[in-house]
Amino acid sequence: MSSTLSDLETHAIEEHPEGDSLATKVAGRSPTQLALARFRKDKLSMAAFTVVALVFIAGIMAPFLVMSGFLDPTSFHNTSRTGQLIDPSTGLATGKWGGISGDHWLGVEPGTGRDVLSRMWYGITFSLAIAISGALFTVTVGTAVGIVAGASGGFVDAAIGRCIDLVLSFPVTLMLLALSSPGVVFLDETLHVPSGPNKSFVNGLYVVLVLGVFGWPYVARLVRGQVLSLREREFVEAAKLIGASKFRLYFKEILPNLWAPVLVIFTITMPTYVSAEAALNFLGVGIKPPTPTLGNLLTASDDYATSAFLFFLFPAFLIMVIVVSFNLLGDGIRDALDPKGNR
Amino acid sequence: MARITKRALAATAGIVMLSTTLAACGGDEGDNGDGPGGTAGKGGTLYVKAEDAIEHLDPHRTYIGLHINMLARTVTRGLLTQSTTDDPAPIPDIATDTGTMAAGGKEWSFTIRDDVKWEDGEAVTCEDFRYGYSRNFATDVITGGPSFYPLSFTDIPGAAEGAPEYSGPYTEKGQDLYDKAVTCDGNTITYRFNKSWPDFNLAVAALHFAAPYRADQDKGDKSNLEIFSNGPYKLEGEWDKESGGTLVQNENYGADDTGTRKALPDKIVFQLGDKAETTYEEIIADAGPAKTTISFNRLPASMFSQIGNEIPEDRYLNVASPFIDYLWFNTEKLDPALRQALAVSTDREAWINASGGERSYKIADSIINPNVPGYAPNSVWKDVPPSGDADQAKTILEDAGIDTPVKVSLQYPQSEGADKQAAALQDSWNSSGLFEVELKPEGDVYYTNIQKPDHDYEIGWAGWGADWNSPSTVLPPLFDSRANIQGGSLGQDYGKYRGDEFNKKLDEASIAAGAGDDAARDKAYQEGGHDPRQRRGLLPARERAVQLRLGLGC
Amino acid sequence: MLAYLVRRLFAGVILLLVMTLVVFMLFFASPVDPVQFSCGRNCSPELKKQTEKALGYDKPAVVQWKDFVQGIAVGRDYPDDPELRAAAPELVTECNAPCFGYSTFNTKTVNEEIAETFPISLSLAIVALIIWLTGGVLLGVTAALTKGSILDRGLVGASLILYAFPTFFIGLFALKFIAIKWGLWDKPVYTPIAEGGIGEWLYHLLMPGAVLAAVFMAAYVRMTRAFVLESMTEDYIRTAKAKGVRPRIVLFKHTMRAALTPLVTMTGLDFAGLMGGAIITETVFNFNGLGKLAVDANKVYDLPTIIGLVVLLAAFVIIANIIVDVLYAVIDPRVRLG
Repeated sequence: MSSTLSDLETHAIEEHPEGDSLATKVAGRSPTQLALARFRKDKLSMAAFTVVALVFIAGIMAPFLVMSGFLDPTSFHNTSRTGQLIDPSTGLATGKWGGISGDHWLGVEPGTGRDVLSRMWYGITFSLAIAISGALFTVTVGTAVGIVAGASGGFVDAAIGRCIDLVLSFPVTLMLLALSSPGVVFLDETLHVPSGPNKSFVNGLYVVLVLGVFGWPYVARLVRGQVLSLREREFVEAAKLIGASKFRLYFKEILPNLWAPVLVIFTITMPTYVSAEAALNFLGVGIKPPTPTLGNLLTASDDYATSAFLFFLFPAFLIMVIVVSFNLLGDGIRDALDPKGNR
Repeated sequence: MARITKRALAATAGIVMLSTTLAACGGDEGDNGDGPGGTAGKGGTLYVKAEDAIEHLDPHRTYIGLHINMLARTVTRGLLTQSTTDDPAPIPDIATDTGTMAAGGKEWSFTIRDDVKWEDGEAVTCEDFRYGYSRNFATDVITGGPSFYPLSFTDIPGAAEGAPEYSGPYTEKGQDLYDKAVTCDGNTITYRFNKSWPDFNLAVAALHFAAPYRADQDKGDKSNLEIFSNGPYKLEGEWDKESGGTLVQNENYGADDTGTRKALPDKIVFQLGDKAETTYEEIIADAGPAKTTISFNRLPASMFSQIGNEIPEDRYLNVASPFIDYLWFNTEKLDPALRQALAVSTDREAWINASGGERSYKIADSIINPNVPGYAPNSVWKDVPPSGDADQAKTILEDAGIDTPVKVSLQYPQSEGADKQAAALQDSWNSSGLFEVELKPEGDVYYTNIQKPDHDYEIGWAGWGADWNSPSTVLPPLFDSRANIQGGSLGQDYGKYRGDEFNKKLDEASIAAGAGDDAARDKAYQEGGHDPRQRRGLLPARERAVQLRLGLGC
Repeated sequence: MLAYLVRRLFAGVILLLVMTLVVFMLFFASPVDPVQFSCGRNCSPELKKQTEKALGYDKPAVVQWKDFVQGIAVGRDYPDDPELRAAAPELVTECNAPCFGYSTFNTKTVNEEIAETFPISLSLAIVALIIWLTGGVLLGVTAALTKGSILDRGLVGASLILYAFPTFFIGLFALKFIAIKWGLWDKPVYTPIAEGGIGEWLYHLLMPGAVLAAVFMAAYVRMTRAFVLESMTEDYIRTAKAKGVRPRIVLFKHTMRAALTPLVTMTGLDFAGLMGGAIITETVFNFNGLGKLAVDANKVYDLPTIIGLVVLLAAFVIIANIIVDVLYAVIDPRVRLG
């Protein structure tokens, strides 16, 4: 975890050359069309895109599949009453390979006999929900602050700069951990969330909020750099001259020119937050079972590393696939938008 | 022992465990002994591992049975001790005999032998015992121990109401009151109580609240992780809360004819912090120090599959623990018929299977553990199958005119294992179609919250083990509303059970015990505990077992 | 240069002060009562008050912050309340400057806790740093030089996959399978140099160090590769090549030097973050470093320890930032401090 956020900075700041190369114009085709064309030619990126799309579709479908009964992440199969898929003397699934069968493609969970595939599939929904909301929050706040800082300059810029320094000086993982009990209680009391499955919501919301609160400065710094170079461009000067309001200047003139870097940032933030959710869950922060997330599935399986290895491997492998494909997709988008890049 | 440990896992079979290990693991590393019960040799290093930090080493702050039996017994000797066999009778340790009861249990005297020494060579005196006992009253410093026993029993004004006028040796407020209640006459120490305490000998044998303590070694809270030994081992260097410490033979250890301490290993190294799974994986791999390693923790359920394969059956023990896990119902909020229906429809089999199956737990038919004298199965469970009886529950609800499905909630302390178990219970209740159960996991605040008199929890779970071998340390501490519900706390009576009839039975039992009539005592407890009209009779419960696996190389 | 340093240090101190103030506000405005935890489960109102006084929690947050800062500057004594100190002088704990607080759970000053755990975190960070830096740079350069080949793709891909598995999965796998089950490597137990010599120390740090390095390696491989590629197209490299400088010299003298600057920045900041403890790696391998200390403190909500650690780690990061900026100027002649 300690690396995930700083890693984002690495990707974003170090690997992304500043400047306006993103908007290079070629007569006849828009930069977007050009970028799309380049992206389509890149096989690896297209493969990554396909996987990401599949993951998204799976995540969106899961709740409906659960409702329709196709996926069953909660039913027990551990007694004579519920169907005996668990050997009471060992607690493990009966049969080989962790109870893999026609009904349970990835086997069943030791102890409870819950279907592993259903839990993982449904877990994608919650993990993605956290990662997407976290990334949206991070990117929205970061972009807004970055635009204001970059476009205003002067005192505002300096003040925001100090704020960024302040937030960046916090040891993030430790703060996430230490604030979790007061943070969750606070959210709970402020939002008056009825208990029960909704508690998952509070726990998840906490993760989203802290990821955003400690993540936005990286984005803000980056966007600010982009804005600084945009600020000197003619269309901004022109808007200033005709007396456009600050709001108009920020969000109508500058923002539309930032979508490319922001999209890249978003794509690269997503996977770090998927990992972050897992890591935080390992440390006891985040959505708790029975609501599945990839993080809590992996955490719950580590005791079985030696006795039911597949049960341990599956969630880790899925996280790996998601993180890799999102990263490759991010790289692909960046390369497509920035043909000068050397990869 | 009675304390619910945070992870609710640290059960005790320490007595059996310690004796077996010390007897078996005497040999040097690499010495192929005969395993448990084999010939004992002297020397070598015993490694003891535990997952969690040990909160207190101070004898007066130690309450967890596992810590008493696995660690404290090797460095702290008291008046009496327990046998390492199943025999519940106390054995004289530093006292010359098992003590003399007088005044109908209101007075106990012990004579201290003069040949037992502290680790610096000085003799253990009667004053050391008197000083040690006085520390219980410093409730602002000596926390965590079973001090409520001396606090409520000792004949000091205010003690019976829960606010003794003596506040311990650090402030010395009310010292004269203490000096009258506990006296030393030569080598004889006398304790005077405000009410009958016929079990006092059992209590001091099992717990360490009456252990001796040297006044010149007392640094209050700063002594919490220090050991000043009068037992066969002493601490070498410092104890580190996170990682543990090393015990070595104490050459000044005085005369001991209890036969309970063989003290065979040269060194006992406590290593804390590894997860139980990791420790057992090492023990199974059986390389290096793991050959002479034992663990505090029970064998994790995830490793039961290795019994019989990687873990040979003869290296494996499954011992019954004194603990019972039970579900409690809020008697103020839930209708008696509803409680009964819930109890009857509980799938105790699923509950147990979700936590490791038959090796972890057995279905219990009484809140009193079968190992405790006075146990008798509760007849109300006779007709309820292990996986619950939804039809019976349905009839009960229909007769009481309760509309189904009933919405109820289950509160529990969140952990990986608890999540599965709670989900199993939820599934068992919901699948009958009679209930809609909501799970409410909580952090460690759970234990604080369930003691709040105004809590609105509906169902919760808890665990309890007898402090010593008597039902008097089970039923009264759990369900006597008079003792429990006072001073802004529910005590252990989380379900707010106020049963006058039941309380009367407890009094009868207590009187019978003071008169030495065990049969009458047990009868009264059973009548109180098993009355099917009482909620008490209807708590789904399970017995905890303790699995151990011993190091192979010893 | 000196003026710059002084200015940066001054700004750093101010930043740290503001940061601690924010921390105090955050934790003391929070709805969780830290004393409830310190005081235990059977906490009577009197006992609670006593604990509050001993830790100074009865005062407003700003005053507590002032006391804390003062403690760092000149040290302080515990219990915080003068009456309690007067009542039992033998129980007073002196905490010398810079005092980070006193933990009632461990009956130790936070300084003592840090002193015990810091060497472990530092050792782990150093070993991990060496592994990921050598590995990252070597593989990165190799990949750049073989750009587009299978080797290039393989290296970049493998490091990415290693990065993408959660650290605790890799750690647990290494511990449970490589070390324990297959017995290929002894289970790592931290051994100070003073006890077992440098060999033993290193041996036990290699496995957790490698696990920790796996997370960072991918970024370093990719970055090194990118910078080497980028700088190879720079004019001065082309000039050097045109002049007939041998390729190896071009690579190491010119290309690497240019790529070094951003590497130093990143390394410095990552290392500073890691000195504060690799929370997951330390938890998995049961190394009692700062990270594990933080996790343990958080379990019981040991606020003095948590706050002490937060401030210490923030100081690491702030100092590292200053050092990195200075190094920047040393390595890259184009950068001038002013």
